[in-house]
Formats: sequence, C-alpha cells, structure tokens
Amino acid sequence: MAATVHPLPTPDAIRVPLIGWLVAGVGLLGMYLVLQENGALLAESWTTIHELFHDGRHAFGVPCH
Amino acid sequence: MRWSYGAVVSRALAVGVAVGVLLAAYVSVVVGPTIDAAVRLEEAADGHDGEALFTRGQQKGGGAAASVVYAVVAAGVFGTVYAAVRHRIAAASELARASWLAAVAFTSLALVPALAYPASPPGADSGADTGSRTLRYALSLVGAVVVAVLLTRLSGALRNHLPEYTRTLVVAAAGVVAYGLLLVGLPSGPDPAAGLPADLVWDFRVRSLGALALLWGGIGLGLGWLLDRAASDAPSGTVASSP
Repeated sequence: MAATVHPLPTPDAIRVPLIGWLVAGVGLLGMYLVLQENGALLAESWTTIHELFHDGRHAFGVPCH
Repeated sequence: MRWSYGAVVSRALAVGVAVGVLLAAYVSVVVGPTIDAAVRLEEAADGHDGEALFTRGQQKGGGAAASVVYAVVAAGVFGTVYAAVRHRIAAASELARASWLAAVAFTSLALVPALAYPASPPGADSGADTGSRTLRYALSLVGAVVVAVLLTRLSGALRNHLPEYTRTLVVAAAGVVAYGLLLVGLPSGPDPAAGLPADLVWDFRVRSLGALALLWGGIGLGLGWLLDRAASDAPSGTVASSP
C-alpha cells in the first residue's frame, strides 16, 4: 500500500490579473498613510493624518510617539 | 467549484467591511480605556493641554475609521493572495484553507512583530526615536513574511520525500527554530513604554494583540465561510464570476 491514503484536495488555480496586484499595492500604500506615516516618508504636513488616526495606530501595534 | 479572481476578492472586501465594524467596536470598547489612561498619565506628567490638533473624541472617531480602513485593505490584499495561492493549499474546505492562510498572516504580520517590538500606549516616549522604531518594526514584518515563504518552500520540497506526519513535524520544528532565530537576530532597542506602569502596558499589549487576532481570524473565517456557502449553493462545475 502506498503512503497516499486520502490526499486532501487542491483546487484549480485562479489567475490573478495584474490589475488585482496593482489595486492591492495601492491599498497597502493607503494603509501606510493611515497607519504608519509619521514623517519617515512624507513631509510634516501629514501630521494631521497622523494625529487623527492616532488611536488606531496604537491599537494595532504600529510604532508611534 | 471554479472561482474567478473577482468573485473571491469581492467576497473578501465584504468580509473586510464586516470585520472592520467589529474591529472598530473592539478598539473603542476594549483598547480605548487603556489608551485613555495612558493619555491622562501623559497629560498629568507634562501638563500640556490645549495644543492638541484633535480632541480625544475626534481621535477615537479616527481610531474607528482607521479600523475600518485597515480591515478592508487587509481583507482585499488577503483575498488577492488567497486567490493566488489557494491551489497550493491542500485542505478539505475553503474554510480550512482560508483559516490556514489567516494563521500564517497573523503569525507573520501580528504575532512576530508584537513579540519583537510590543505595541506601546501613547505617551510612552518623547517621539525622538519613532523613525528607527518604525524601521525595526518594518524589518520584523519583512523577516516574518520571508520565514513563512521559506517554510512553505521547505514543506513543498519535502512533500514527496517524507511521510505526511513526519513532514509536518519537520516543518513545525524548522518554524520554531527559524522564528526563534529571527526574534533573536532582530535589532534590539529601548522599550518605549519603560516609564509607564507595568500593568497598564501589559493590559494594552494583550488587548492590542487581541485586535490583530480579531482582524485576521475574522477575515480568514469570514472569507472561508462565504466561499464554502457559495460553493454548496451552486451546482458542481459552475464558474463563479464576479457579481
């Protein structure tokens, strides 16, 4: 008897279009602005965004002052 | 059932909205009080008030908004990655498959960074070294994702050489060693919360990790459930296109 007793099923592959990866990348950039931006990448003008999303950033463990 | 990319991602985004609302409630009710306590300590310590850009109420609203944005984006990216790697995950159901990927995401994007550089409540330090802490945090994220990818590769390479149970044990042991080495190898820095009461910091850290567990757990279970439900409703051989 072979070792393959009951192999669990693997489904057919889904083709992810390039646009899907692009949208995901833009989303991650937006998330960076909301969560992470503290002057490391952009200018001080983002202080407003930084302060507004203050509580969320702390809650999700992102470094902050 | 055959799935299209759009059908998977649209369901992932719907799950993201639902998880975002739950997460906003969790952050407000569970994490909020510990943030408030830390802010009160901060204000009592340096006595500054009136110069804040936003009131605490506005910041709480911002925290809720950030929760929804975070959950929706995380779910969208999760759905995209899930669509790309789904055919490599051997499991009996979409729920099992999506839960497995969510566990990998939680470990790499939440647990390992939290163990290396635990979350800190507001007012923990002067903000002078926020830049270097951000860099170290990003390094822990990237390192944990790299370890997860390498473990997957190892698992795949051993698939035809070892019995299933042995392979699982070998990969699990390699994971313990690899994540352990990563945690030891990451640069250390001063704990920004060193000056705050230990019980407050502990409460905050456990609740913060809870928020991330809710995020990834909710996304994985929610997407897996929706996909299984749609598949069981549809006749076999149907192609699910984007709605």
